[in-house]
Amino acid sequence: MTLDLSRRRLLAAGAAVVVAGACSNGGDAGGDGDGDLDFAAGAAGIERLAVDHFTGTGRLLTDGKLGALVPPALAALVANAVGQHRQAHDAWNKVLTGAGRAEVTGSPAKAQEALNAAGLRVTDVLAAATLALRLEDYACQTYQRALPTLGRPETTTLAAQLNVVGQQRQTVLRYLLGRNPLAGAGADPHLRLITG
Amino acid sequence: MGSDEGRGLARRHVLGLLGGGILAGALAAPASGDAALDIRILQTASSLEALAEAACARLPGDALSGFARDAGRRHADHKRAFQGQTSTLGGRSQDAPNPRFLPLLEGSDPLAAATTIEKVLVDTYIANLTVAVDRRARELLAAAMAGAAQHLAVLRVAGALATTGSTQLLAVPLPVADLAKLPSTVGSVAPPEALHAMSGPELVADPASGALG
Repeated sequence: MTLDLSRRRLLAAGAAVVVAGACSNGGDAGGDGDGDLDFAAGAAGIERLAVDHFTGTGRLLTDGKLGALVPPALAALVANAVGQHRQAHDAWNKVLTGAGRAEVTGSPAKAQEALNAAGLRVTDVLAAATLALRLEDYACQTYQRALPTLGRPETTTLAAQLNVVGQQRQTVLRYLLGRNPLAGAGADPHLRLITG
Repeated sequence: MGSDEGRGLARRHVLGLLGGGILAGALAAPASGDAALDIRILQTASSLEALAEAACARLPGDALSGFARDAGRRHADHKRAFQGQTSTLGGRSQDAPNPRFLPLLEGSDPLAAATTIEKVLVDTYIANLTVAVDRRARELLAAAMAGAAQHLAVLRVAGALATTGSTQLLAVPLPVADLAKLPSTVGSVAPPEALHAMSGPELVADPASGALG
Protein backbone atom coordinates (compact mmCIF):
# COMPACT_ATOMS: atom_id res chain seq x y z
CA MET A 1 0.00 0.00 0.00
CA THR A 2 1.37 3.40 -0.86
CA LEU A 3 1.64 6.10 1.74
CA ASP A 4 -0.94 8.12 -0.14
CA LEU A 5 -3.46 5.31 -0.16
CA SER A 6 -2.85 4.72 3.53
CA ARG A 7 -3.42 8.40 4.25
CA ARG A 8 -6.69 8.43 2.33
CA ARG A 9 -7.80 5.36 4.23
CA LEU A 10 -6.99 7.00 7.55
CA LEU A 11 -8.86 10.16 6.63
CA ALA A 12 -11.80 8.31 5.19
CA ALA A 13 -12.11 6.07 8.22
CA GLY A 14 -11.97 8.97 10.61
CA ALA A 15 -14.34 11.10 8.58
CA ALA A 16 -16.98 8.42 8.53
CA VAL A 17 -16.79 8.13 12.28
CA VAL A 18 -17.19 11.83 12.91
CA VAL A 19 -20.04 12.20 10.47
CA ALA A 20 -21.86 9.45 12.27
CA GLY A 21 -21.05 10.95 15.64
CA ALA A 22 -19.98 7.47 16.62
CA CYS A 23 -17.57 6.41 19.32
CA SER A 24 -16.07 3.18 20.47
CA ASN A 25 -18.15 2.86 23.59
CA GLY A 26 -21.23 1.89 21.69
CA GLY A 27 -21.19 4.17 18.67
CA ASP A 28 -24.36 5.77 19.94
CA ALA A 29 -24.80 9.35 18.82
CA GLY A 30 -27.10 10.03 21.74
CA GLY A 31 -30.40 10.32 19.94
CA ASP A 32 -31.27 13.78 21.20
CA GLY A 33 -30.84 15.43 17.82
CA ASP A 34 -28.23 17.91 19.03
CA GLY A 35 -25.62 18.27 16.29
CA ASP A 36 -23.14 20.02 18.56
CA LEU A 37 -23.21 17.11 20.99
CA ASP A 38 -22.88 14.61 18.17
CA PHE A 39 -19.81 16.47 17.07
CA ALA A 40 -18.50 16.59 20.65
CA ALA A 41 -18.76 12.81 20.85
CA GLY A 42 -16.83 12.36 17.61
CA ALA A 43 -14.22 14.90 18.68
CA ALA A 44 -13.76 13.20 22.04
CA GLY A 45 -13.05 9.95 20.19
CA ILE A 46 -10.45 11.61 17.99
CA GLU A 47 -8.76 13.20 20.99
CA ARG A 48 -8.65 9.79 22.68
CA LEU A 49 -7.07 8.40 19.51
CA ALA A 50 -4.44 11.14 19.67
CA VAL A 51 -3.71 10.51 23.36
CA ASP A 52 -3.11 6.83 22.65
CA HIS A 53 -1.07 7.51 19.53
CA PHE A 54 1.25 10.07 21.11
CA THR A 55 1.61 7.89 24.21
CA GLY A 56 2.74 5.02 22.00
CA THR A 57 5.08 7.24 20.02
CA GLY A 58 6.62 8.57 23.21
CA ARG A 59 7.23 5.03 24.38
CA LEU A 60 8.95 4.14 21.09
CA LEU A 61 11.17 7.20 21.40
CA THR A 62 12.06 6.46 25.01
CA ASP A 63 12.82 2.82 24.30
CA GLY A 64 15.14 3.72 21.44
CA LYS A 65 12.99 1.86 18.91
CA LEU A 66 13.19 4.76 16.47
CA GLY A 67 16.92 5.29 16.75
CA ALA A 68 19.36 6.04 19.51
CA LEU A 69 19.34 9.77 18.86
CA VAL A 70 16.02 11.38 19.73
CA PRO A 71 15.77 15.06 18.76
CA PRO A 72 14.95 16.97 21.97
CA ALA A 73 12.44 19.20 20.21
CA LEU A 74 10.49 16.23 18.85
CA ALA A 75 10.57 14.45 22.21
CA ALA A 76 9.20 17.58 23.89
CA LEU A 77 6.44 17.99 21.31
CA VAL A 78 5.35 14.37 21.69
CA ALA A 79 5.37 14.56 25.49
CA ASN A 80 3.36 17.78 25.45
CA ALA A 81 0.92 16.42 22.90
CA VAL A 82 -0.02 13.55 25.20
CA GLY A 83 -1.10 15.88 27.99
CA GLN A 84 -2.69 18.41 25.66
CA HIS A 85 -4.81 15.85 23.83
CA ARG A 86 -5.79 14.32 27.18
CA GLN A 87 -7.06 17.70 28.37
CA ALA A 88 -8.92 18.13 25.09
CA HIS A 89 -10.51 14.71 25.54
CA ASP A 90 -11.55 15.66 29.06
CA ALA A 91 -12.97 18.96 27.85
CA TRP A 92 -15.22 17.30 25.27
CA ASN A 93 -16.36 14.75 27.82
CA LYS A 94 -17.25 17.57 30.18
CA VAL A 95 -19.44 19.03 27.43
CA LEU A 96 -21.09 15.65 26.95
CA THR A 97 -21.71 14.84 30.59
CA GLY A 98 -22.89 18.38 31.23
CA ALA A 99 -25.62 17.76 28.68
CA GLY A 100 -26.56 14.41 30.15
CA ARG A 101 -24.70 12.22 27.69
CA ALA A 102 -22.21 9.48 28.47
CA GLU A 103 -18.48 10.04 28.32
CA VAL A 104 -16.55 8.79 25.31
CA THR A 105 -13.80 6.53 26.62
CA GLY A 106 -12.44 4.93 23.46
CA SER A 107 -11.17 5.72 20.00
CA PRO A 108 -13.12 5.39 16.77
CA ALA A 109 -12.38 1.81 15.77
CA LYS A 110 -11.85 2.29 12.03
CA ALA A 111 -9.56 5.27 12.46
CA GLN A 112 -7.64 3.40 15.15
CA GLU A 113 -7.22 0.46 12.79
CA ALA A 114 -5.99 2.68 9.98
CA LEU A 115 -3.58 4.46 12.31
CA ASN A 116 -2.25 1.18 13.63
CA ALA A 117 -1.63 -0.06 10.09
CA ALA A 118 0.24 3.12 9.21
CA GLY A 119 2.20 2.87 12.46
CA LEU A 120 3.63 -0.50 11.46
CA ARG A 121 5.74 1.27 8.85
CA VAL A 122 7.22 3.76 11.31
CA THR A 123 10.85 2.87 11.91
CA ASP A 124 12.56 6.19 12.55
CA VAL A 125 11.90 9.58 14.08
CA LEU A 126 11.11 11.29 10.78
CA ALA A 127 8.47 8.69 9.94
CA ALA A 128 7.03 9.06 13.43
CA ALA A 129 6.83 12.82 13.03
CA THR A 130 5.22 12.41 9.61
CA LEU A 131 2.51 10.12 10.98
CA ALA A 132 1.91 12.47 13.90
CA LEU A 133 1.50 15.29 11.40
CA ARG A 134 -1.10 13.29 9.48
CA LEU A 135 -3.08 12.66 12.65
CA GLU A 136 -2.93 16.33 13.66
CA ASP A 137 -3.92 17.33 10.14
CA TYR A 138 -6.91 15.04 10.28
CA ALA A 139 -8.03 16.35 13.68
CA CYS A 140 -7.64 19.96 12.56
CA GLN A 141 -9.57 19.39 9.36
CA THR A 142 -12.35 17.87 11.41
CA TYR A 143 -12.53 20.96 13.59
CA GLN A 144 -12.12 23.26 10.61
CA ARG A 145 -15.02 21.70 8.78
CA ALA A 146 -17.29 21.79 11.82
CA LEU A 147 -16.62 25.35 12.96
CA PRO A 148 -18.98 27.12 10.54
CA THR A 149 -21.79 24.74 11.45
CA LEU A 150 -21.64 24.54 15.24
CA GLY A 151 -24.40 26.38 17.04
CA ARG A 152 -23.56 26.75 20.70
CA PRO A 153 -20.98 29.43 21.59
CA GLU A 154 -19.29 27.17 24.15
CA THR A 155 -18.95 24.32 21.67
CA THR A 156 -17.74 26.66 18.95
CA THR A 157 -15.16 28.23 21.24
CA LEU A 158 -13.81 24.89 22.40
CA ALA A 159 -13.52 23.57 18.84
CA ALA A 160 -11.79 26.79 17.77
CA GLN A 161 -9.34 26.73 20.69
CA LEU A 162 -8.45 23.11 19.94
CA ASN A 163 -8.09 23.83 16.25
CA VAL A 164 -5.67 26.64 17.05
CA VAL A 165 -3.41 24.44 19.17
CA GLY A 166 -3.64 21.64 16.62
CA GLN A 167 -2.64 24.02 13.84
CA GLN A 168 0.36 25.06 15.92
CA ARG A 169 1.45 21.48 16.55
CA GLN A 170 1.16 20.81 12.82
CA THR A 171 3.20 23.88 12.02
CA VAL A 172 6.01 22.87 14.37
CA LEU A 173 5.97 19.30 13.04
CA ARG A 174 6.29 20.57 9.46
CA TYR A 175 9.15 22.79 10.62
CA LEU A 176 10.92 19.89 12.33
CA LEU A 177 10.51 17.82 9.18
CA GLY A 178 12.25 20.49 7.12
CA ARG A 179 9.10 21.45 5.24
CA ASN A 180 7.45 24.79 4.76
CA PRO A 181 5.78 25.24 8.16
CA LEU A 182 2.77 26.91 6.60
CA ALA A 183 0.19 24.64 5.07
CA GLY A 184 -0.65 25.54 1.51
CA ALA A 185 1.23 28.83 1.69
CA GLY A 186 0.13 31.13 -1.08
CA ALA A 187 -2.85 28.99 -1.97
CA ASP A 188 -6.42 30.09 -1.62
CA PRO A 189 -7.49 30.93 1.92
CA HIS A 190 -9.67 27.87 2.35
CA LEU A 191 -7.96 24.99 4.02
CA ARG A 192 -8.16 21.66 2.33
CA LEU A 193 -10.91 19.56 3.84
CA ILE A 194 -11.28 15.85 4.21
CA THR A 195 -12.80 14.39 1.10
CA GLY A 196 -12.41 10.71 1.96
CA MET B 1 -28.78 26.55 26.65
CA GLY B 2 -29.77 25.81 23.04
CA SER B 3 -27.59 26.81 20.14
CA ASP B 4 -29.85 29.54 18.78
CA GLU B 5 -30.41 30.98 22.22
CA GLY B 6 -26.69 30.97 22.98
CA ARG B 7 -25.68 32.64 19.74
CA GLY B 8 -28.54 35.11 20.08
CA LEU B 9 -27.35 36.14 23.53
CA ALA B 10 -23.81 36.59 22.27
CA ARG B 11 -25.03 38.77 19.40
CA ARG B 12 -27.28 40.88 21.62
CA HIS B 13 -24.31 41.51 23.91
CA VAL B 14 -22.20 42.75 21.00
CA LEU B 15 -25.06 44.77 19.51
CA GLY B 16 -25.67 46.43 22.85
CA LEU B 17 -22.03 47.48 22.99
CA LEU B 18 -22.13 48.89 19.48
CA GLY B 19 -25.45 50.67 19.33
CA GLY B 20 -27.74 50.72 16.33
CA GLY B 21 -26.62 54.09 15.01
CA ILE B 22 -23.03 52.96 14.63
CA LEU B 23 -24.14 49.85 12.81
CA ALA B 24 -25.99 51.82 10.17
CA GLY B 25 -22.82 53.59 9.09
CA ALA B 26 -21.13 50.36 8.02
CA LEU B 27 -23.58 49.68 5.26
CA ALA B 28 -23.61 50.58 1.61
CA ALA B 29 -27.31 49.76 1.59
CA PRO B 30 -29.90 48.89 4.25
CA ALA B 31 -29.37 45.45 5.75
CA SER B 32 -30.90 43.38 8.49
CA GLY B 33 -29.49 43.49 12.02
CA ASP B 34 -27.77 40.15 11.54
CA ALA B 35 -26.17 41.25 8.27
CA ALA B 36 -25.17 44.60 9.75
CA LEU B 37 -23.17 43.00 12.54
CA ASP B 38 -21.67 40.44 10.20
CA ILE B 39 -20.55 43.27 7.92
CA ARG B 40 -18.79 45.00 10.78
CA ILE B 41 -17.15 41.75 11.79
CA LEU B 42 -15.94 41.27 8.21
CA GLN B 43 -14.71 44.87 7.90
CA THR B 44 -12.78 44.53 11.15
CA ALA B 45 -11.34 41.22 9.98
CA SER B 46 -10.21 42.92 6.76
CA SER B 47 -8.51 45.63 8.81
CA LEU B 48 -6.72 43.04 10.94
CA GLU B 49 -5.46 41.19 7.87
CA ALA B 50 -4.16 44.49 6.48
CA LEU B 51 -2.40 45.14 9.78
CA ALA B 52 -0.87 41.67 9.87
CA GLU B 53 0.30 41.99 6.27
CA ALA B 54 2.13 45.17 7.26
CA ALA B 55 3.62 43.46 10.31
CA CYS B 56 4.98 40.64 8.14
CA ALA B 57 6.61 43.18 5.84
CA ARG B 58 8.55 44.54 8.83
CA LEU B 59 9.99 41.18 9.89
CA PRO B 60 13.77 40.87 9.60
CA GLY B 61 15.14 39.22 6.48
CA ASP B 62 17.48 36.27 6.30
CA ALA B 63 15.95 33.22 7.95
CA LEU B 64 12.44 34.60 8.18
CA SER B 65 12.23 36.21 4.75
CA GLY B 66 10.49 33.26 3.11
CA PHE B 67 8.05 32.95 5.97
CA ALA B 68 7.34 36.68 5.96
CA ARG B 69 6.63 36.60 2.24
CA ASP B 70 4.31 33.58 2.48
CA ALA B 71 2.51 34.83 5.58
CA GLY B 72 2.07 38.29 4.09
CA ARG B 73 0.59 36.80 0.93
CA ARG B 74 -1.83 34.70 2.98
CA HIS B 75 -2.95 37.76 4.92
CA ALA B 76 -3.57 39.57 1.64
CA ASP B 77 -5.59 36.59 0.39
CA HIS B 78 -7.68 36.53 3.55
CA LYS B 79 -8.27 40.27 3.37
CA ARG B 80 -9.57 39.97 -0.17
CA ALA B 81 -11.84 37.13 0.85
CA PHE B 82 -13.25 39.14 3.76
CA GLN B 83 -13.72 42.14 1.50
CA GLY B 84 -15.55 40.04 -1.05
CA GLN B 85 -18.00 38.73 1.50
CA THR B 86 -18.47 42.21 2.92
CA SER B 87 -19.61 43.33 -0.52
CA THR B 88 -21.84 40.29 -0.91
CA LEU B 89 -23.65 41.26 2.29
CA GLY B 90 -24.06 44.84 1.11
CA GLY B 91 -21.22 46.51 3.01
CA ARG B 92 -18.31 48.67 1.99
CA SER B 93 -14.86 47.08 1.72
CA GLN B 94 -12.36 47.91 4.41
CA ASP B 95 -8.78 48.15 3.16
CA ALA B 96 -6.98 50.06 5.91
CA PRO B 97 -5.08 48.53 8.85
CA ASN B 98 -7.00 48.33 12.09
CA PRO B 99 -6.49 51.73 13.75
CA ARG B 100 -6.84 50.44 17.30
CA PHE B 101 -3.86 48.11 16.97
CA LEU B 102 -1.87 50.12 14.42
CA PRO B 103 0.46 51.52 17.14
CA LEU B 104 1.82 48.00 17.64
CA LEU B 105 3.71 48.42 14.37
CA GLU B 106 5.70 51.27 15.88
CA GLY B 107 7.40 49.01 18.43
CA SER B 108 11.13 48.47 18.23
CA ASP B 109 10.86 44.68 18.00
CA PRO B 110 9.16 43.59 14.75
CA LEU B 111 9.14 39.93 15.83
CA ALA B 112 7.32 40.72 19.07
CA ALA B 113 4.91 43.04 17.27
CA ALA B 114 4.06 40.43 14.64
CA THR B 115 3.57 37.80 17.35
CA THR B 116 1.17 40.02 19.27
CA ILE B 117 -0.74 40.95 16.12
CA GLU B 118 -1.16 37.33 15.01
CA LYS B 119 -2.56 36.53 18.45
CA VAL B 120 -4.99 39.44 18.17
CA LEU B 121 -6.21 37.91 14.92
CA VAL B 122 -6.61 34.43 16.41
CA ASP B 123 -8.46 35.63 19.50
CA THR B 124 -10.69 38.02 17.57
CA TYR B 125 -11.71 35.35 15.08
CA ILE B 126 -12.49 32.86 17.85
CA ALA B 127 -14.71 35.44 19.53
CA ASN B 128 -16.42 36.33 16.26
CA LEU B 129 -17.11 32.70 15.37
CA THR B 130 -19.56 32.64 18.27
CA VAL B 131 -21.37 35.73 17.01
CA ALA B 132 -21.35 35.78 13.19
CA VAL B 133 -24.44 34.32 11.53
CA ASP B 134 -23.57 34.28 7.84
CA ARG B 135 -22.25 30.84 6.93
CA ARG B 136 -19.67 32.10 4.45
CA ALA B 137 -18.41 34.67 6.96
CA ARG B 138 -17.97 31.90 9.51
CA GLU B 139 -16.04 29.77 6.99
CA LEU B 140 -13.71 32.66 6.29
CA LEU B 141 -13.20 33.43 9.97
CA ALA B 142 -12.33 29.78 10.66
CA ALA B 143 -9.87 29.64 7.76
CA ALA B 144 -8.19 32.91 8.71
CA MET B 145 -8.00 31.81 12.34
CA ALA B 146 -6.18 28.64 11.30
CA GLY B 147 -3.75 30.61 9.14
CA ALA B 148 -2.96 33.08 11.92
CA ALA B 149 -2.47 30.19 14.36
CA GLN B 150 0.18 28.74 12.04
CA HIS B 151 1.94 32.11 11.77
CA LEU B 152 1.83 32.45 15.54
CA ALA B 153 3.54 29.08 15.91
CA VAL B 154 6.41 30.03 13.60
CA LEU B 155 6.89 33.34 15.39
CA ARG B 156 6.85 31.65 18.79
CA VAL B 157 9.52 29.19 17.62
CA ALA B 158 11.59 32.09 16.30
CA GLY B 159 11.16 33.90 19.60
CA ALA B 160 12.19 30.81 21.57
CA LEU B 161 15.34 30.39 19.50
CA ALA B 162 16.18 34.03 20.00
CA THR B 163 15.65 33.72 23.75
CA THR B 164 17.94 30.70 24.01
CA GLY B 165 20.63 32.35 21.91
CA SER B 166 20.15 29.81 19.13
CA THR B 167 19.25 32.16 16.33
CA GLN B 168 21.83 30.46 14.13
CA LEU B 169 19.45 27.48 14.06
CA LEU B 170 16.55 29.56 12.81
CA ALA B 171 15.98 28.60 9.22
CA VAL B 172 12.79 28.16 7.26
CA PRO B 173 12.86 25.53 5.92
CA LEU B 174 15.02 23.83 8.53
CA PRO B 175 17.90 21.68 7.22
CA VAL B 176 17.12 18.16 8.44
CA ALA B 177 20.69 17.91 9.70
CA ASP B 178 19.87 20.59 12.25
CA LEU B 179 16.84 18.79 13.70
CA ALA B 180 18.78 17.18 16.53
CA LYS B 181 20.41 20.50 17.42
CA LEU B 182 17.16 22.29 18.20
CA PRO B 183 16.51 22.84 21.90
CA SER B 184 13.53 21.12 23.48
CA THR B 185 11.75 24.44 23.91
CA VAL B 186 11.05 24.46 20.17
CA GLY B 187 8.80 21.47 20.73
CA SER B 188 6.92 23.00 23.63
CA VAL B 189 6.57 26.69 22.84
CA ALA B 190 3.81 26.25 20.29
CA PRO B 191 1.29 25.46 21.47
CA PRO B 192 2.15 26.20 25.10
CA GLU B 193 -1.22 25.02 26.37
CA ALA B 194 -3.87 22.38 25.66
CA LEU B 195 -6.62 24.94 25.05
CA HIS B 196 -5.57 28.12 23.29
CA ALA B 197 -5.57 30.82 25.98
CA MET B 198 -7.64 33.82 24.96
CA SER B 199 -6.38 37.32 25.74
CA GLY B 200 -8.52 39.84 27.56
CA PRO B 201 -10.53 42.48 25.70
CA GLU B 202 -7.48 44.72 25.44
CA LEU B 203 -6.09 42.36 22.80
CA VAL B 204 -9.32 41.44 21.00
CA ALA B 205 -10.60 43.65 18.21
CA ASP B 206 -14.26 44.48 18.83
CA PRO B 207 -16.41 44.62 15.68
CA ALA B 208 -16.49 48.43 15.78
CA SER B 209 -12.72 48.80 15.77
CA GLY B 210 -12.27 48.23 12.04
CA ALA B 211 -15.77 48.98 10.81
CA LEU B 212 -16.47 51.75 8.35
CA GLY B 213 -18.80 54.12 10.12
